[in-house]
Order: sequence, then structure tokens, then C-alpha cells
Amino acid sequence: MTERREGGPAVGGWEADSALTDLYAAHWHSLVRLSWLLVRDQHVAEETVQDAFVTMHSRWSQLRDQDLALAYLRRCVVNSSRSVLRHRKVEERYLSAETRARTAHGMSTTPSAETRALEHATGDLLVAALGRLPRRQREVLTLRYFLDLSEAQIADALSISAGSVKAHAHRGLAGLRSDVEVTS
Amino acid sequence: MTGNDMFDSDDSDFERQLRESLHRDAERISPRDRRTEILAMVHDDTRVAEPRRRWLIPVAAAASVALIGTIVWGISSTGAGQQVTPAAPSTSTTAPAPSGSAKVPVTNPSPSATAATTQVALPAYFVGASSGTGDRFGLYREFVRTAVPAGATPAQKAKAAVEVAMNAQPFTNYEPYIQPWSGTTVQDLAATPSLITITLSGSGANGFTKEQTRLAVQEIVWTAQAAIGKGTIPVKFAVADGSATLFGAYPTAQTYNRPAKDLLYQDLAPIWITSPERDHEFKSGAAVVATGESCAFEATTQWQLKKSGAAIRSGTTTASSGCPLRGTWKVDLGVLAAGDYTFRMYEVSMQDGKGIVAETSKPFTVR
Repeated sequence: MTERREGGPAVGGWEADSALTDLYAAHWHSLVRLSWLLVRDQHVAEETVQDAFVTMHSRWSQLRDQDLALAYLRRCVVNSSRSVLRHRKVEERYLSAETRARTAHGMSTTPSAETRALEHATGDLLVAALGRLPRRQREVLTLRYFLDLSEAQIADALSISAGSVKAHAHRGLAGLRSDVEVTS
Repeated sequence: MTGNDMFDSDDSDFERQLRESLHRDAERISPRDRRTEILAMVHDDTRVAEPRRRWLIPVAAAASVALIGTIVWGISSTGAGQQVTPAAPSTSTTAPAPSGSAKVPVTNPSPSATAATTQVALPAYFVGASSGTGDRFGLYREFVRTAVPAGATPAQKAKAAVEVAMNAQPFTNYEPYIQPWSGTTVQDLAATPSLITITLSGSGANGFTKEQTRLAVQEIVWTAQAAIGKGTIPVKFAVADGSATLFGAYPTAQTYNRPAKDLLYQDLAPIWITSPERDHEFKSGAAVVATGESCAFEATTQWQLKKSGAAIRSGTTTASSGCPLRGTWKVDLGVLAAGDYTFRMYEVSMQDGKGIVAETSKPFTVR
């Protein structure tokens, strides 16, 4: 199991393809939906999960186990989704600054993906309140109540301790309750 | 559920509501099939130029992964730029790829390439007729897979995207795209956080109308900005032969940009179909949903589902916004019998209720 064959053709070949196919069939939809719940952009969510599968395939020689590979996929998806949100915030700050300047053809104010997402929101109070929680609390609750992951699995996906998972979950639920009570 | 290890039992009602809300919300999207594309990426899309040695393959694969995972910002395609922000998100934030089994044009890597390359999907804009009569034009977006150097910078990818956008020929058999940049190539593209500078070999082809050439300039602006993915950075042009204008009309001394949000109709074709993609193959039994964007009067457009040239279903849809704002629309076509179809979306003139002021179509298949 600990064999490393970085350059060998066997480990990264059929076995990796087979694992990829199986994991894809079982988890593609749920992982895309997980990413979508975090970033609210289907294209980005699909790309994020696609990239995760490609990376997982390239790392198969280290993983060589479907459970490990699935855990790896979840980490990739959560981390990449978080990076997308971070990138989006940087971009929005940049665009905000840019709109104060003028150019020969004027400046674009193309709506952000977050704005589009809000425009398309269904009005579900709980989901809307979840979106207002701090990022980590939102991630913990989404992994828990959408993917039904255990405390240990969430800790692994987010690379935090089980105690932190518990704390974020309690704070998140309390925040949700409070938000929904105020809103309704 | 894999364990009740976190919450108190008296939270169960609230937890159940939250679980149901999340699942209901997540069901709003239907992830498209990308298995074929993923398998293509892990097998066929990482190529190493001669000499081809087996030990280079994992190196190229690693480089491909590095490309996916990292954007290094601000280095010009000639390597003369400046690194500003390392370790940004994946290419997916700026270059969403086509889905599943759609037949996507793929450009050939440059024959002069001597280093490892990888295939990426890049957004490219094209000038095309937006009405059935061919008298109105606008920009359409395509996602095109093309080869870029492994570890390509945003500027290198933008240069590749602009090269794609300037060559509409691969699309002209099935899309009403024109080729105002025929005979012109992009020689260099440099990007900083405040300016994208594109050097062209010439100033554009002759024989196009003023509106077509204006859109030709804008297609490069949209494409470069989309590939860079850092917002609406102004674009400046230079012409290798020293020309002071593009198409004899657009000064290279000034910068160009996308129009404001409420003026996007000046550039973009009034109707886009973003799904199904051209020649996409849906599995039999799967629901087919058409989605797209429009800028239409009172947000209203008509659609037809055609089979063998005849409309078998039709309807009206309302986008999320009406012109001058650009809205999104969605038409649920349900489960379709196996066969070849065309989805057509069009806008009828409000003046006479008959003329078609905008239209576009996408063929797809159910198997």
C-alpha cells in the first residue's frame, strides 16, 4: 500500500481510471451540488469538481483507496470553493475601485456571481440565513446537513479539529435560529 | 446519516428543516455530465512535444495539475511581466469548460511549440449575425479547448484565447460568425493589474461595416478580459506595422473596455443559448433543460423545439430581466424521445408582432 510508483504506468492506468469512473458515478452529482451550495455558480461548481477529479486521478498512486480518494475529493472541492469565494471578493473589491475611474469606453459593472445568485434565490429563509453565516460555520453545516458527514469526516474535509467542528456547528445553528426568528 | 455526534436531540426538528432546505436548494441544479471530458483531460489532453519519452508523461501530468491549481498573475506572454499575486483559484473561475459530450472545437497547438503543453477550455467571443435576416450582429461566447504551455500565465492563456477569437473559421460551418480578423494574428499580450496590451500583426480585414468592425474590436476586449479573469481591465492595442488605428477607425492611442451593465446590449447578441451546448448528447430518460441569456423587450422571448426541421413544441419564456438589462432564462423540456433536435430561441418584433429581431439555435441529440 505504501508503494510509490510516480513514473510507472500501472498504478496510474486502469486502476486510476476505474476508481475515477466509480467515484464519478457515485459522487459527481453530490459533489457538484456541495460546491454549488458554497459558491452559488453551477459552472464554477462543475469546474471545481472536475478539477478535483483530475487531480485525484493524478494522485491515485498515493491514494489507491476509494475511501481515501473520496475524502481527498471532498477536501479539494471545499478548498477550491473557498478559493473561488476568496478570489471573487478580491475581484469585487477591485471592480468596486475600478468603477470609480473612467476609461475611453466606460467601465463595466458586470454583476458578480454572488449578485446573480442572490437574484435567483428562492427565498428559502434557512438557506438565505445559512448564506449569512461566517464561512466556516456555513461549511460545517453544509457538510453535515447536505452530505450527512460525521464530525470526523467534516474535520478531515476542512482540516480542522473535531472540537472546532463541534464549536462551529453549535454557533452556526444558534446563528441560524436567531436569524430565522428575526426574519420571520 | 452517518452519526448524531454533534447536536442535541431537541435540535432535531430544526436540523431536519435545515437538511430538507439544503437538499431542496441543491436539487435546483442538474449537474451536467463531464465524465468524458475528465477522462479526456487525464489521458489525452496533456501532450509533450518531441522528443516523446515515457518518463516525461508524468512530468507533463504534474505540470497540468499545477496549471489547474495555480494562477500566477500578471506575467506577459513573453515573460516580461511582473508577478503580483500567487496561488489564486483554479482556471475554473474564469474559464468554465463545456460539458460532457458536446462537440467542442479544439484548436491545434502551435507547431513551433517545443515545451510541454496542456489543453484548457478558454472563453472566446465571436462576432455573429443575431437575427435571421443577418442584418444585425452581436457577440457570442464559445468555450474552446486549446493548447497552452504547461503552467501558462493568465496573459499566456489570454493570448491563446484571443488567437482563438480572431479565427472564427472553425465555427463558420454551423454558426453565423464573420471573420473580420482574417489575415491578422496576435503577436503579444501583456497584462498588468491596470492594463492589458495586445500587439496585433495588422489592423484588421477590409470589407466589413462600421458596426462589424466595432464588434471585432470588442470581441478581443471581452475575450482578453475573460481569460485574464480580473475584471474589466482596460485594453490597449498596438499594431506591429505601426498603424495608428484598427480597421482605419479605432485609434490605438486609446483604451477599450466592455460597456456598462445597462449597455451590454451594444456588444452582446440579444439571445444566447448556454445549454444545451452545440451537439450535446443527452442520455435517454434524462430531463432536458435549456438555459440562456437574453436582452429582450419585457424580458419575453419565444422558443421552439424542432425535430427533422419541424417545430414539435413551442412556448414563451420570461427572463430574469428585460432589456436594457441582460437576464437569464430557463426552459424545462422534460424527458425527450431519442433523436436529433434543435432548440431555437427568438424574439418577435414588438412593432409588428411578426418580424424576428433576434434568434439563435442549438442542435442537440438524445440517445
